[in-house]
Amino acid sequence: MKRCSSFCILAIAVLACAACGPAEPIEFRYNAVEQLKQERLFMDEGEHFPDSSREEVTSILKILFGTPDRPQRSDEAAAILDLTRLNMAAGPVESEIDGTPHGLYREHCAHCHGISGDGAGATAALLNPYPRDFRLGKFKFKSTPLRTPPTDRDLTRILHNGIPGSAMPSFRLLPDEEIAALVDYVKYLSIRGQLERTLLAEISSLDGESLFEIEQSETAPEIDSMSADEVPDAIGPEFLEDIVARWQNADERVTAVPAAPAGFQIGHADHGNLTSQGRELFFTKGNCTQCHGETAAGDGSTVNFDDWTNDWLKTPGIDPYDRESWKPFMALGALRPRPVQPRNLNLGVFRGGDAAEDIYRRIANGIEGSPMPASAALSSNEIWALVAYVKSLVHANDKFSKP
Amino acid sequence: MNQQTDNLPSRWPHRLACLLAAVVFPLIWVGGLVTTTDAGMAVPDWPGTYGYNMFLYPIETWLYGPFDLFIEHGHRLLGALAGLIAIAMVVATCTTERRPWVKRLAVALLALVIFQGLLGGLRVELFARWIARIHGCVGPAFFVAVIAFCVATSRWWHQQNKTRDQTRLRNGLIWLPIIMLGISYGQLVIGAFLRHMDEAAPPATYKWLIVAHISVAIFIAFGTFMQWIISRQKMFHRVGIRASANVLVLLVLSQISLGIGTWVVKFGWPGWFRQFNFAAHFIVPEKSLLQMNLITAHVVVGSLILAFWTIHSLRCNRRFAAVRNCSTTDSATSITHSDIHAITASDA
Repeated sequence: MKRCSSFCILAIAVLACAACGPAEPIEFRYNAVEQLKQERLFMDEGEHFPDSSREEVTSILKILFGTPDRPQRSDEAAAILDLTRLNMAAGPVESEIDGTPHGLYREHCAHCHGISGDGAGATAALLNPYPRDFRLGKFKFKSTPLRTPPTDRDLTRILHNGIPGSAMPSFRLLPDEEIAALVDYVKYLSIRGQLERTLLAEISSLDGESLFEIEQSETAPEIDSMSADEVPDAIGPEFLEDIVARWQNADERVTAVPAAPAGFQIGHADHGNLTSQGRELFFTKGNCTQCHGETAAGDGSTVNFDDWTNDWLKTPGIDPYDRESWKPFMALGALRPRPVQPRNLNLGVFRGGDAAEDIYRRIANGIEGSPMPASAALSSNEIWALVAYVKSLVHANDKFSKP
Repeated sequence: MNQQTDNLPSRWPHRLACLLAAVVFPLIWVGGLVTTTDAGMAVPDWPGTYGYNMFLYPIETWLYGPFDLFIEHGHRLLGALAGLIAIAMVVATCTTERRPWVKRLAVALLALVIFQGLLGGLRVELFARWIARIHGCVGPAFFVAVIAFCVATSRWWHQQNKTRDQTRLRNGLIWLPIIMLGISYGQLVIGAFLRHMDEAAPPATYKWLIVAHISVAIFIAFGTFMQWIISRQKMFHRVGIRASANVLVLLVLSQISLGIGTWVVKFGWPGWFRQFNFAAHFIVPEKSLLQMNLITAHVVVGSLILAFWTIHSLRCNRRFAAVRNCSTTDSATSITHSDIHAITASDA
């Protein structure tokens, strides 16, 4: 009888807790790592951003972008973001009677990439490589040059194909409209994150003044009652226009791939003289061995970090091997610095796509955010020769011999 | 002969409990699929389904509608069926069973299934992930309780009145299974937290839960192996202990394989495998049949391990534990150690 009573009390307690109400709505995570970086870069030791900064930045972003449950699209972003798609991807996971889904981002992406696209979702610390932080606006595998956002096609392709050898899955089983919704939401998070970083950089240049130049006590009610039109142009929309313009023009900046030279056979390992020419370039002019190593197994002598780590690690001059110096950043949400592992080309796995054109673009454009540079000094024929050599590596027996 | 039949309790509580277990097991599987496919919010209202009475929802829309609706509504119907069987079981137990604690257990089972249904409804109504966690923990607890009821009302249980071995207390067969049952349930709770992780949870939370999950898995594997070794002793031949220990070893090995598989189909091969061709080429197949079924199988086998530890614990305790506060109907007639061998030999 005692046990029955205990059970009843426990059940009532749980139900009473449940009756307290639904879970708190989820908010975007503030980029505190960027704030600390800016403070380290531009302020004297012990000085910090004004107390109101966080609230100001958060409020401006809320006005222009809404919340994770109710995304907004400002006029500036109307050309590149579809609000219907954003609503499909945003919010908690649920679906309508006809199967129309909502909350696609939280269903498929948030556990790794995080609610705000900071690449620090719940599972992030255990994944290698870390999930992408969208807030820098940098994407590795794309058809556009460095410092240019990817096209929708690039993002769709990564979502569709996944990235082999990583935790990034293939969403090929999702309908096209759901993938399109996720692409728009990734762009939305990326643009939001870029504006947040821009605003924080702006604050660092204000010499301790408030972004709105108003008293802190008046800040909250004034900002909260603002509409998107009322945000001062010089603070939000002007910066936003610049960021959006870069995304808008991405399609026009796709790197054209010239026709492969005679002797290059798509789908074959034997490319004749091109392969030996490529091997020569691999060891000499291309300087590929520095990272990929002489065996092309990714065992070169250089130790590098990617841009997502360097952004908060090297920019403010923090020693990556001094744990104590980067602990404060980790406490704010940064992930432990990990050196980049150059690709083992002998495996024949190319994360950005294994078609000859994909590898050509990888070599020509480099890989954004990674130590892989764009090959400014190589002609298109030389790049094709490198493609031929790289493609042949998985088959070649003499691949480890120096030319 | 007739007198003997009259003394035996009715078989109906046991039959209904077995039927309930047969329904609850697929119910746990479907519940696992609900979480794996994120179908929990496919039906926004409760206890109805899109305004319909749950039992009157058009069958065509259910069967031929969206997959997540099919799964979620199916889960609710199966849950309701489990509730109805639990009611029948309580009626049968209260009218035919003489042991008061068995009657109380039957009522507790009904209360638990109602509580579980309420939790499911609250999770939908309040959109609260933490309720989903509790829902995920209570389901296997209910399954375990049903299994315990099956064992307690079985013919084997009653037969122990004659063959119970009290010659010597064997801690390895009395306390170890109970401890393992508790740890296995704890492992399941960690699993429920991992499955229903908050979207905004920091990476450290997940990391430490994974570390705990793997550590406990290693401990369970070790404990199960120990139990298997103990059960291999000659004196336990044909007393039902070995069989459940064997099954537990197989289940734990399968579960470890499924756990590794779950990680691989969800997050790919760990970094140190990536120099191998198979791992470097592997692409995580999001929402594929392989991914959904492997992850769900990991959940279900977890409950199955719990169920077998329950059977094993009850068998060991019924067979070897000292008798305390015996009632007439539930007491054991003490026999010597040599007697048990004589009985098992005659069984053969």
